[in-house]
Formats: sequence, structure tokens, C-alpha cells
Amino acid sequence: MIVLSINSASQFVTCELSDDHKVIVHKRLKAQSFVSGLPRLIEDALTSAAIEPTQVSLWSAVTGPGSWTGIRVGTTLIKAIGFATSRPTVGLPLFDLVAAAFAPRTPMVDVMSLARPGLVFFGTFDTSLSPPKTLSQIRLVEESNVARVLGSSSRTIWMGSDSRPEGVSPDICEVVSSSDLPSGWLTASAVQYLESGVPHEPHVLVPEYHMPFPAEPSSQER
Amino acid sequence: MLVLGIETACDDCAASIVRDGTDILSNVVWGQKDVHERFGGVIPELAARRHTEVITRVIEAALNNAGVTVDALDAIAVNNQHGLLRSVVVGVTAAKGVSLATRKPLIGIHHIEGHIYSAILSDQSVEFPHICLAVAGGHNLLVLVKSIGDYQIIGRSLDDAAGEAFDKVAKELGLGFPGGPQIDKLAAEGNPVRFPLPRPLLNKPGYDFSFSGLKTAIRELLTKLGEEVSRSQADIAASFQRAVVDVLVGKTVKVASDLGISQITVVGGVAANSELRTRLSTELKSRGIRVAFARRDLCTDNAAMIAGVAYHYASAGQFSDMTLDAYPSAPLGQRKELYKRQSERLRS
Repeated sequence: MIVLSINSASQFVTCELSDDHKVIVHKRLKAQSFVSGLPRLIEDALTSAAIEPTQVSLWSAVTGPGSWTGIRVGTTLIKAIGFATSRPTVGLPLFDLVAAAFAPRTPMVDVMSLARPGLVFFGTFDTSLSPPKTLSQIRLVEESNVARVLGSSSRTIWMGSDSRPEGVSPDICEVVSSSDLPSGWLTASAVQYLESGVPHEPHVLVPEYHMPFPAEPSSQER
Repeated sequence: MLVLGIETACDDCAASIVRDGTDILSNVVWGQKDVHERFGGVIPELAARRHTEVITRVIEAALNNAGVTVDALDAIAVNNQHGLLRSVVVGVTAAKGVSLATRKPLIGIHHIEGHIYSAILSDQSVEFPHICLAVAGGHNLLVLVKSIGDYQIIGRSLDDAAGEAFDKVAKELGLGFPGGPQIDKLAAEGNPVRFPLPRPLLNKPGYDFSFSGLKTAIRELLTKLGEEVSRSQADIAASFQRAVVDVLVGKTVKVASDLGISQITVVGGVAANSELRTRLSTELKSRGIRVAFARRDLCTDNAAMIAGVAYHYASAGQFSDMTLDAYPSAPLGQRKELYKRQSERLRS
């Protein structure tokens, strides 16, 4: 089974191509523009492995949280490719992947990342189960309240930057980058999600964890 | 030659299949009135989110309505050069996805070039050169169209576009969104000469437009009328529409006469306005100038115009590649220069 997955949650974009659970291409670049960079990354990955798009059995993309534009471009690109090749597409929720990768077999993992200045995405996971289970819906928390909402978790992961929320000690909070996920993690997770029965029709692949409107960037003039 | 067109400049998510540049096999538009109506205008972030949700369904509907599969396509065309950036990004990305998956060539098209072409899609007897009055919510231009891809902007709006003024005045009057059709409908019942309003730049040299002063005049009129506004809505709408139409007709007639052009085309959302169509037809015909309007269903944003004009570039072997980027605005008719600059930027 050939699987192609992308992670465009940050400026460091990853594209992973695997064949029967073996990674055959793992490409990473710092995207100046997601719109021009991401399709070229996928094209390069396929070309370097001499694989045609129609040979790919499963396409997947990280659905967030992360860079708004990156996630939007990544999911739109993968759903369009999945649609045009009539192949399944799977969305990869980033916090779940990060929890499972950086804190495996742990009953309570808190994962956080900055949504915008002063506001944090926050979720709790149980990675001792297979597939890992989300214990609480990912929610938005005021940065100043993060220390208060941290439960009796075994591990706490801050994703994206090293400026942890106020009051969260480095002793209890590990800093990771989504682009540091282990090689093979994206494609293995995609297969796992597909086999767990998640919806995989290209039309339903969309970004997740939007900022609620109107607490989002203001309107721009045409 | 079958071209899939994709258009996501603003709040309409559109896909179309056009054969040989003129034969519209399907033309699907997924509007977002339900999303933006409560705000009285388009919210760019919400528009982009909806585009992402529905884009492949819209493409699928266009293919199904045309009775073709992606394998039958010869090229994928997309507006990449004008509109709300976040929305344009979704269309460009989807087009690239289909192009990459099918190995069919990609063509980036300027949104306004698409609109200009909508007159040719509507009336294939349109000849070159002609003057195009492109009048919509995001742009207001008088363009000398020498041939496909060869455009010279003769006049432009210095501030608000006419369509934008229609939307804002409709909002002031509490008429809902989008405002153009509401004003048009209400104006039919009103007295267009009851309220004297300015005709900005009408008697000034040149062919540029300005509608922000007119919008301000309406706001001042509403303040002055106070509670009487509700009883005078139809007259206000009619007076405002008459002022806009006077300016559009006056400038268009002037440019055609000055340049000795015998054919005018009218495109864009405001081209659907009843009074504009009637007045321009009458004024131009009396001067022996032929006028062709875009079909009403091709006046607003649509993907048939993108696929239609792209046919000519595809026939000439002018394609884009995966480096194609999205732009909120770009000079009209400067494809080569744009792509050259883009290539240089990527190389650096």
C-alpha cells in the first residue's frame, strides 16, 4: 500500500511517501509560500520515487491545529488529489499524532500550542490505548489560565515554540515541534486511522480547530 | 478541447467545463449568501473556510453536469490573479491538486480577464478591438481589448467600484446582501430625479471613475431625511442608481467616441443592472455603436469565463506549472511578466 502524507502545520512542511509501511521518501522544506511550495514538494516526492499519483492508495494531510494557511492549503490540495485520483483521504489531527509520538503508552498527556497571542489550544489524550484516545475535546484556553487547567497529567507537551505559557514550568512541560515527528509517523498514522474506520471520502477532509469567529484576523479589503 | 475552470475570487465557489472556448457544458456556482448575509458583506476568512469545505463537491458537480470525467479534461484553469487572497488560495490549490493528480496542464488566469471574456462567451460575434466596461464589486474599469491577452486600461475607479457602492448603499438602507439586485428592484418603483445627487467626474477630462463621494452624499441624505427614509427608500434607490448609471454611461459613450471604437462590451455584476443595460443600449445604438452584454448568469463570478479564456492560452501552448502562486491583485494582461518575476523570486 503506497501512502502519501503531508504536514503543513508549520512553515517547515513535511511530505512522506511510504510503501508497505516502509518510508521511501521523506522530504522537508521551509515553505516561502504554501501555495507554490507544497504542490512542488509532493511532485518532487512522487518523481523521486518514480511513482504516479494514480499508484498512491491513500492520501493524508494534517488537519490542525497549526498555521491557518498551511493547514488550509494542505487539506485542500490533498482532498483535490484524492478526488481526482478516486482514492481515500484521511485527516491527521496533529495533537493526537504528537501525543502518541512523543508520549507513547501514557494514560494522560496534555498537548498545547499557541492559537494566537494570549490564547492556547489545549487537549488531553490517552496514548496507552490503540489507537490513542482523545480524553477531552481540544479547546481554546486563555494563556494565563493554562497552569490552572493542567490536570494530573503524566506528561505535558507544548508544541511549536519555546515560549511556554505563563506559570508552566519547564520541569513539567516538554517543548516539541510538529515537524520533528519521527520518520514514518505520518503515513503509519494515516493507515491506522483508515483502518479504524474514520470517514475517508475526499469531500469531508477539512481543516479542524478554527478560531471561532469573530475572534480571528479581521477582514481584508479586496 | 475540454477545460475545467475554477473560480474562487470572493464568496462564490465555481467550477465549469467549457469545450473549445465557447461551448459551456456545465457552470456550477456554490454561493455563500447564508454565510455572509448576517454581516452585510463578505468576511474573507469565512469565505475561504467555505471554499475549502465545498471545492471538490463543486468540481464534481461541474464534471457530472458536463457528463465528463477528469481523465477527459485537456487542461485545468484557475483564477490566480485577483480577489480575496485567502479565497483565491483555495481555488489555486484545488486546481493544482487536480492538475498534479491527472498530469493535465495548469493555466493561471486573471479574474478580470475572465470577466472581459464573459462577453465573448455570451456573444461570439464580438470583434476586436473593442472597449469593455468591467463593472463589479471589486473593480470598475474601461479596457481597450485589442485581442485575447492584449489589454489597455483606459479608465479605472479611483476609489470604490460601482458594485461596492451599490452594496454599501443597500446596507445603509437595510436592504440586505448582495445589494445590487435589491437596489435595482427597489429603484424600479421610485422617482430617480427626486433627490439631486452628484455625478462624480462625469464632466471632467479622462475616463476614470469615483463613487465614494456619491456614497457619502447618500449617507448625508439619509441623516437629513431621518425618519422619512423608510417612506422614501424607493426614491433614494432610484436616485442613487440613476447617478451611477449616468456616470457609467457618460464615460463609456465618451471613450467610444474619442477612440472611434464601434463596439462596447459590458461585463461584471453591475452589468446585470436593468437601468444600465437599457440606457447603454439606447445611448450607444443611437450613435451607431454596437453593445454586447454578458449574459446575466455570466455577469457575476463564474468559472465558465475562466475556462473559456484559458482555451486560447492552452491552444497557444501557454501553460503554468506547480510554481503558480495566488495574488490578490495583479496587472491585467501581464502574464509573461508576472511569471517571469515569480520564477526569479523562486530561483533566488
